[in-house]
Amino acid sequence: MQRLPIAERPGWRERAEELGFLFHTIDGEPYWIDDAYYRFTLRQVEDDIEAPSSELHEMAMNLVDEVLRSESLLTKLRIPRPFWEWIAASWHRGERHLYGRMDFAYDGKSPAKLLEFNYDTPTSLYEAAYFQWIWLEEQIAAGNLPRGADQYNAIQDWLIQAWGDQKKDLPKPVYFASVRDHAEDRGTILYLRDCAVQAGVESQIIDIEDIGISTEGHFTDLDDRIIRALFKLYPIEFMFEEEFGARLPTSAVRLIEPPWKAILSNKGALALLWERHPGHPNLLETHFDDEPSTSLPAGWVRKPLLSREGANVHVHLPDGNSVLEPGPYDAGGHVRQRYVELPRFGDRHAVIGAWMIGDAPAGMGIREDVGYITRDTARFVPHVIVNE
Amino acid sequence: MKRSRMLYLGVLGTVGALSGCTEEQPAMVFNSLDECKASAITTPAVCQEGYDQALKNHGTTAPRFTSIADCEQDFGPGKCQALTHSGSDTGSFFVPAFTGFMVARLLQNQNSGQYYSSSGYWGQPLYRTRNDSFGTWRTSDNATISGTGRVSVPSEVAHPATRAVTMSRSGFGSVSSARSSFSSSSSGRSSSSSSSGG
Repeated sequence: MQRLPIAERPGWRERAEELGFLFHTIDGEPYWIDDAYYRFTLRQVEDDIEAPSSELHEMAMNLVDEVLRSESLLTKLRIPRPFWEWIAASWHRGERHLYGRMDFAYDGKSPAKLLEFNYDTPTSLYEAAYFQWIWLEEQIAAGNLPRGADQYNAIQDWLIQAWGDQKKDLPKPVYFASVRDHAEDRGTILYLRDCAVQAGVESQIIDIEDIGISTEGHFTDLDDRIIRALFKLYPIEFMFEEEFGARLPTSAVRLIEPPWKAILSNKGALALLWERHPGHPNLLETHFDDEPSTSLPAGWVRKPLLSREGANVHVHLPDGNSVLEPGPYDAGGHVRQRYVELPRFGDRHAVIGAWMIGDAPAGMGIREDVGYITRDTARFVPHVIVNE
Repeated sequence: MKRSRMLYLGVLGTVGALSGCTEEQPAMVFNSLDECKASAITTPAVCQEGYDQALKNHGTTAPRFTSIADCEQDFGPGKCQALTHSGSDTGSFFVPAFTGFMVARLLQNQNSGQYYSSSGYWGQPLYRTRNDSFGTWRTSDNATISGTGRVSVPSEVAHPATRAVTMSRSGFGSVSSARSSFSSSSSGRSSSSSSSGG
């Protein structure tokens, strides 16, 4: 695993915009990095990322099944009680899921360590699945990379396949919802919708704020049409708290991701996995941290059960220094996870995002950030597989 | 090869390329329960359940008029009846006569809750306005249906209500917007709302 420079593609920004990738630069800061890449060997990718992600996914799915049969575990994860039955029903009905991203600390040598699951609203999808692929094709065509250069990336193929597989179970049309005026989230749902359309799924787009509730308790669109299938790029736990949240179980809406993903978007799942598989080479030691007022020992990281984009994560480095990412997620429980060194390349560290589409490992994307915590300011850097 | 051989993106950034299409699906239309049962195109059980459902839906979805004159203006003299409701509805109003019914297969995922049917079919009432020549009908939503026996209709007409009266909106999104001021100041990005992704 190496980070290498490469000539950037002339006119790549225009190309990005032409392809719908409007957030390649955010507020003047680069998000997409065109002039560098990470290089892996096939063995590293297959043995150290693909195989473990497949195994961890299976462990995670078994955990969902166990949690949904246990009131004490649901309580421990602070899943609100009014939603228990509804969440469990979505699992027992076999409602399929579309995607998830596991974040790994990996240096090319030691076993990849799972930092967390992003299994409800994973982002950086379009850039991993599509723009990264285009980048490689064009860099090969330009002669900047050898003909045999490859990439761990069949994400889009699998996405189209996954939509095709669940199409027959989905009411028509499927509404794709994201937060109003957020270019990155909107870009992600447009991309997912594109994949769905290629699989023959009928679709509509709606801002999450525009969803209405009918006199009979159905969700509606701006034309008062009943929403029966809703892909939401919006945290399920936010919905639980919001005004219409209580209506979810009786609205008969089919949610994608399904409600049972609430178990895996919860950091408590990491503690439960460690309890069940202590010492697993790809897991970091993690425990519930029910008394976050007590001091965090050096070499541990405290994370809220529910947190996105690294918010409210507190890192107590082995050297005694502390890093605290402020944020709005401080209410609720926490977990304590063993600190792991992230590989550094220059002034940045890298985190591997391994994508599962349905239940299949499908590809990866790499984000790097300056500080230890990977936030929403991270940059996306393409990767290449070259065998030496 | 660990990557896709070919990727294609069609509609990214464009709006609703396929969403306007209407798909047709098969349905069955009958003048009466007896006609349905005598027909060879479906089973008596489907007839009975479809008819019962249609009759029940007639009570709730039939076009309503406050005067018989208004009703007859649309549906013709002698073609309207008073419908008296028990429960919260007070008084009576006028609805067109139940002149036939349509039965169509429910989508698997629609067969739940108030739409549940053991046969997997959905029945709805049909009406005839003054403008309907023999052989055409109107649904409760005023969609035109032609023919009896096997027919082909747009999917959205064959299924339970696709529209509803919206009481309120903006019941989702509040947590995200409450956190947006935080997000933009701490991350250095000034998006007007915070990302929901992770």
